[in-house]
Parts: sequence; C-alpha cells; structure tokens
Amino acid sequence: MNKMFRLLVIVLVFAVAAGCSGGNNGGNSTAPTNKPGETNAGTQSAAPQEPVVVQMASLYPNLDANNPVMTELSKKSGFKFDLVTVTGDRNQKFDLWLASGDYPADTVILKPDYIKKYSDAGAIIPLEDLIEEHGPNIKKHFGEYFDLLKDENGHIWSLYVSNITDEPTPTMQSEFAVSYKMLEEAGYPELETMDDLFNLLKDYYEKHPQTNGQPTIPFSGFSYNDNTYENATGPIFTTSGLENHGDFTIDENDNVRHIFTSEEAKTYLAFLNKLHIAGMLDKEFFTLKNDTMTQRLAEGRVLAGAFPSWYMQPEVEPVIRAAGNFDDLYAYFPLVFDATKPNKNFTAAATRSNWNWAITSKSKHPEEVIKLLDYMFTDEAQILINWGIEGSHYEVVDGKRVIKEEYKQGVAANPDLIWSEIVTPFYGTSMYFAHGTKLADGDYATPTTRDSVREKYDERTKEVLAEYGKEVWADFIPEVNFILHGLGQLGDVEEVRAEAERLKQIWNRDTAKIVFSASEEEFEKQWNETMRALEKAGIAKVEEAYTKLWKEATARYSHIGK
Amino acid sequence: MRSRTKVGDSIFNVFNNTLLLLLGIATLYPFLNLLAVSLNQSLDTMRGGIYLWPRDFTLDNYRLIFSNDRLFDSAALSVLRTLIGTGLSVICTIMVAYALSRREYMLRKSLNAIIVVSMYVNGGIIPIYLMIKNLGLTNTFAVYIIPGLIGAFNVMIMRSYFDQLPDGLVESAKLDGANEWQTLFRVVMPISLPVIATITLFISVGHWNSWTDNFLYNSKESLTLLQYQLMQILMQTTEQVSGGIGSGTDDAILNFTTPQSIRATMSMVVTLPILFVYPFLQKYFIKGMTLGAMKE
Repeated sequence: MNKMFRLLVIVLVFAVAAGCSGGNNGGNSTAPTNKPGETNAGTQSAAPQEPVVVQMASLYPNLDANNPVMTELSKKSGFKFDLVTVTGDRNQKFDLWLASGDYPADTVILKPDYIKKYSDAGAIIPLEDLIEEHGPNIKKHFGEYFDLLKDENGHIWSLYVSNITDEPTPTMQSEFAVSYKMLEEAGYPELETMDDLFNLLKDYYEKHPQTNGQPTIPFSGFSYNDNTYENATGPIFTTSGLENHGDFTIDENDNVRHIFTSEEAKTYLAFLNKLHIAGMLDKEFFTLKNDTMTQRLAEGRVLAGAFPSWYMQPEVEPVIRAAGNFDDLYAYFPLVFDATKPNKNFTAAATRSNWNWAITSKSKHPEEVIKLLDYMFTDEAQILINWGIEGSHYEVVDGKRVIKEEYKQGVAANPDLIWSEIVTPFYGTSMYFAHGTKLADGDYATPTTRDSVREKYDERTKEVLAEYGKEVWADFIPEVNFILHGLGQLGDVEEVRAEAERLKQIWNRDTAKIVFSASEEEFEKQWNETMRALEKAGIAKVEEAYTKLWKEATARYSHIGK
Repeated sequence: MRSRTKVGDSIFNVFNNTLLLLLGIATLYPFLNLLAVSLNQSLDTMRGGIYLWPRDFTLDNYRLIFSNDRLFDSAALSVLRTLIGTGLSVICTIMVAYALSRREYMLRKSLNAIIVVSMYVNGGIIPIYLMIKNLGLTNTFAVYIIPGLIGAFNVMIMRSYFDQLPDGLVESAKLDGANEWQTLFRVVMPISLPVIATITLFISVGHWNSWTDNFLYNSKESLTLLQYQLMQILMQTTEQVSGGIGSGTDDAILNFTTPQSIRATMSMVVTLPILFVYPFLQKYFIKGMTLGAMKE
C-alpha cells in the first residue's frame, strides 16, 4: 500500500515538473522574437552595417522564408525578414492584434476596411511624407494618378499598385458558358444576344431531352456564397452592359442607381422566367451548392449557364479535362439583350487596392521600410517576385522572358514547389502588377500572358476557338472600360447600412419567387410586389446616400487623368 | 406459453439486431466514405459517385499531407501536449472534485456555484487574450496546458461520482489513521477508476483536437500543433481553389488536390490515433458515464 502511495507522489511530482519545464522552455525560446524591434534598434545605432530586421505579416503558412527569391530580396534591400504568418480566421486575428497591440513590428497586410480600423486606432502611420522623401518609384509609378492613394484628408494609409494594363488580362472571360457539343451541332453559330442563346437551347433541348440517360438541364446557375449574386444579380450587369459596382450602377449624370429596381434587372429576371416556363431552367437554380454544381457540370447535362471565371477555371474545367470529356467543356460569350448598346460591363479600376500594405506605428525604422515598399514598385522587383531569378526560374530567349522548362515541369509535378522557390509575402497581395502589363523593357511583368493561357488549353478548346477566329476567351470581350475607382473601393455608408442590408434580404428572398412564376401575369404581380417592398425598405435613401459618396469622390479626383 | 415467449423473443431479437445493424451502418458509413474519398484521385472525386470504394485509387492526398515538413514535429508536440496536459489535468480535476465533495469543507457550496458559473459565462476572446498575454503565456507551450487545467464540466462529473461513494469508506480510512492525501489516493481513487477513465478520455480528446489556442496565442512555428498545421494545409488549398487571396494568384497555382479530398484525408490522419486509444478506455467509459450521473 505504501508503495502505491509513493508511486503516486512520484508521478505527481514528475508531472508538475514536466509541466513547468515545458512552460519554461517555451518562455525562454520566445524571448528573442518577442522584441525584434528593440534589440534591432539597439544594434542599429551601435553597428550600422548590421542588416535591419523587418517584421512583416505574411498570409502564407507554407512560405519558405529562405527561398531563393527571399534571399535575393534580402540581398537587394539589405533587410532581413521576420515573417508573422496569419491563417485561419484572419479578421479575428487582426482584431486581436489591434486590441492587444500585438501586430507585427513593421508591416501589415490588410483589406481596405481593416486599413480604416487600424488607421482610426492609430496602429498604422500616414505615409505621404515618407513617400515624398523616400518614394521616388511610387511617385513615378502612379504619375498623375498619385492622388488616388489619398483619403479625404490627404493622408495615404496603405500602398498598392495601379491597374493600368496595356492589354486585357488574358484569363478574363464572360460568365455565360455554352457547351461545346451544342455549339458543334449547330455549326458554331455566332452568339451575341440572350435570345440567340434561348433559340439555340430550345433547338438542342428538343432533340436531346436526355444526356447519358439523365434529364438534360438547358440553363443552370448557382450562387457560390449563397447570396444570389452570381446567378441573379451579377448577370444583370453583364446582359445589359452596365458598369458593375456591386449592387449599384452609375448613370451618365453620376447618379448611383440601385440595380434591384432597374429595368435591366426586370429584363434579366423575365428571361429566366421565360426559360422556366419553357421548362429549360434548372429547378435548383437558387439552391445548388458548389460541390453539387461541379458534379452536375462534370456530368455534361448542363448546356449553358451563368458561371463566373473564378469558379470555372480552377474548379470545373480541371475536373472535366481530367475525365477526358472535352465535349462537355464550355465556351464563354459576353451575351447581352441589346447588342447595339455600348457595353461598359468589363470595367477595371485604376488601382488594385485589395490586400494593401501599411506600416505600423510600432515601426522603429519607417524610412527603411518605405524604401523597401518603394523598391517593390520598380521593374526589377516586379520581375523578381513574378518571374523569380534569371537562370534558375526563367531565362531570356530572343529578348523575352520565358519560364525555364525545368522549373515548369517541377511545378507541374509538385505545385508546392512555388513556396520553396519564388513566393514572397508580396505574392497575391496588391503589390502585383496586373497580368498583361508591360514593363519598360517591353516585355510582360507577369508570366501569365496570352501564350501561357493558350498553352494550358486542350486541343478541343483550341479547335472551338479557331472556329470563331479567336485565340483566347478574353478575345470575345469588348474593350475594357477603365474607371478611376469602383464604388466598392470607397467603402460603406454607415448611416444606410441597415437599409442596404434589408434590401439585400428582400432581394434574396424574392428573386426565386419572381423567376419561378408560372405565367407572365404572375411574374408581373410578383415583380411589382417586390418593388413595393424595396421602396418601403428605403431604396431611395440608400441611392441618395451613395450618390453623395460617389459625387464627393469624383469631385476629389476630378483633376486626375484629365 | 414457453414457445410463445420464444417466438416473441426471436421477433424482438430480429428487430433489435436489424435496428442495431442499421445504426451501426449509419455510424460507420460516413467514416468509410471519407476513407474512400481520401484514397481517390481528387479531381475524379469532384465528379461525384464515390461511396465505399475509391474509383481512381491514389495515395496523392496522403502524400501531400505527409510532405509537409512540419507535420511530424507538430504531431510530436501534439502527443506531448496530450500526455502532459491530460496527466496534469486529470490529477488536478480529481483533487478539486474531491475537496468539493467533502461535506466538512466550509467553502464547498460557494466554490461549487463559482465553478458552475464558469460553465455558462466566459470573458470573450479579446479580454481572455489580454489576460493570457499579460500572464506572459503567449508563445509558450504552457498556454496549451494551464488555462484549461480544470474544466468545470469534468469537475462536476467527478464530484457527483465522489458524492455517491459510501461515507463509511472515508470514515473508516480516517479511523485507521489515514490523512486526507492517503484517503484520496489509496481509498477513493482506486474505486473511482471508471470515472477517472471517462474524464481522461474527455480531456485527452479535447487536447488532441484543440487548435484555437494555437491559432490565438502561439504564432511561433516551433509551437505549432498537428491540428493547426493540418488546418493551414486545408486553408491554403481552399484559397487556391477559390482564387482566395487576390487577383495575382488565380492562375499561378495548379490544382494538385481539392479541399474535399484534403478534408477527408485529414480526418483520417487525425482520427486514427485517437481511435486506437478508445478501445482501451471504452469499458470504463460506459460504466463511468452511468455511475457518475447517479446521486445519493
């Protein structure tokens, strides 16, 4: 008995000791990283040749901080990088950082709404004076557009590159997908309007009511995030050629109009209703989830539909290609209701503001950090972060940069290679020039070009494109309409947030009812009811508030680009 | 009479067995389905129709997860956390629960109430974070162990088990000259093994599955746990697929595998170890649940 007691005491003591030593170990090892700023500032004055340590937020856990491009960046800038990775629920982490003051010592990467939060709390510093002194490349890059970086008080809180490209991004494609097999049977007709599509679907569906023993679905669609955006709201802009500002569009007098109550919305929903009455609309148009949608598209039963490129390119096309059913792939046409009207739908804002870079107020050496950010605006830095290192990742053939075959094959076999080879914390943030941008040497800034996009197509796709005399799907797209800024980039209007939310709720609730009306009369009735509900919910107030916001911004930036 | 009972019995048995069989299938099927998905080529999975067998067999999904060079270090850390955390936590829970079960302990009622309150009310993420930070626990291994050392729910289960032990046991131990420590460790604990095993299982599963404390308090790579490491792999795949981070990445990344397949594979990787512990504790587990719930 005594033995057992002793044994227990030993176990207890051991366990407590283990717990404590575990804690101590942890404590000891964190000490150096906890205060990089302080130790650093100390060494800097004592021995200036020591490299400055820049502590920056990074969005990628797999990023290898010692990869060749990171090493090169260190060499070029004279900095050492200390990365603090943020994954998971990033907003939660950003809130914690802000509340506790635990954000990285030098730079953070935040979306515009969090830039606002951080600047309100004084966690990031205004950059305009630093840029004036240390940012020649930033100023040169933006040129006459420089003032776009400034807020209403003339402060610059975060940095991002401009979006002025020389040719449209080659991965761009319309959201109206039309099956190859249907196009082939009809002899590759020119498709311009939604009515062309309707007739094509009708003819094909009559002949082929079944596909592989299952019912054919002529027209389908879904909402990726369950907010009826991709299936019901987005296509209104596409089919009418209106400028897309989220839930709004802007007329020629700079008035903001809500899209829900527009004539264009009615036209598009009426088209969906016409499909429904003809029995050609997917019964699950408003309820499909993306996994089921992908499965349905891969079965080859869907003839056409509204599907955004950021869903089709990564999630659907690889599945269909892997299965070898190349006839089930889709062509993408920018269909409209009235082909004679000018199409302003394909817009690009002048800046790429999204995940933006800011310098924190904790930074002990903001001048050094702004020099690093300024360096990112040079052609040399863009080549480095986009293409990698000459000789190991790319080579110059006939004066043009080409990805090295070896590296290309390495990535094909193991996509994770990019993390240990060329990815930096700048990757995928607003520090990347748009695809299709040309640098001063006349060559492209990014490896995604018309040629590289074409290279990824299968033979069948090239055949279909050749039937239309095009090379990439982006060729179908009308001229890109450059605007200074989107309404979304100006932020929300706080006072009407509740009303705007209510409008969305009504729209989400009612669109299915309107579209699935059994007759045209019922459609009219449902539509009018919804319009009344939207009016009651304060649509006029929302439009007014956003018109004010928009007009103030246009007045502020009116001197730009003139 | 006798034969009728027999008929009735066998009817009952047929129904009972069918029902249990169906229940067993319903419980087992999702697991087998995940296993099949994890062993199937990821793009092929997206076409649907994977049930019990993989259609296009591959180990690529496992290869991707195991190719993560932090995986084994983080798994080791998770095991360490589970062992140390469970050991300490169980001992502390026993001691607290025992004290609270003693009728002669003055503060028994008020402490009980305080502990119960902590089950329903908590401080919110930011205040808790600030407290942990000011205690100097951020970026330490100790943050995995200390804040969760005593769980109110576990204390309650343990206490109600101790409550229903016959008073005579403790009294006679006292009469034989045992002090409180001896009473607890030599008399009470040996007859409380079922509830101890139950609590051990609860706590160890909790430790093994936990990742939020890692996400919130420890940003250092060397302190990453298995669950968080896996979650990062998943997050990265999800973001790659939906073009996530920003416009720059949309085409640069090829799809090696899909979030669905990664999710299935991860479930396998994290569930299997704990599955192997379960059979050893199971017989105590069921007993402990029912016994602990009784009151005198």
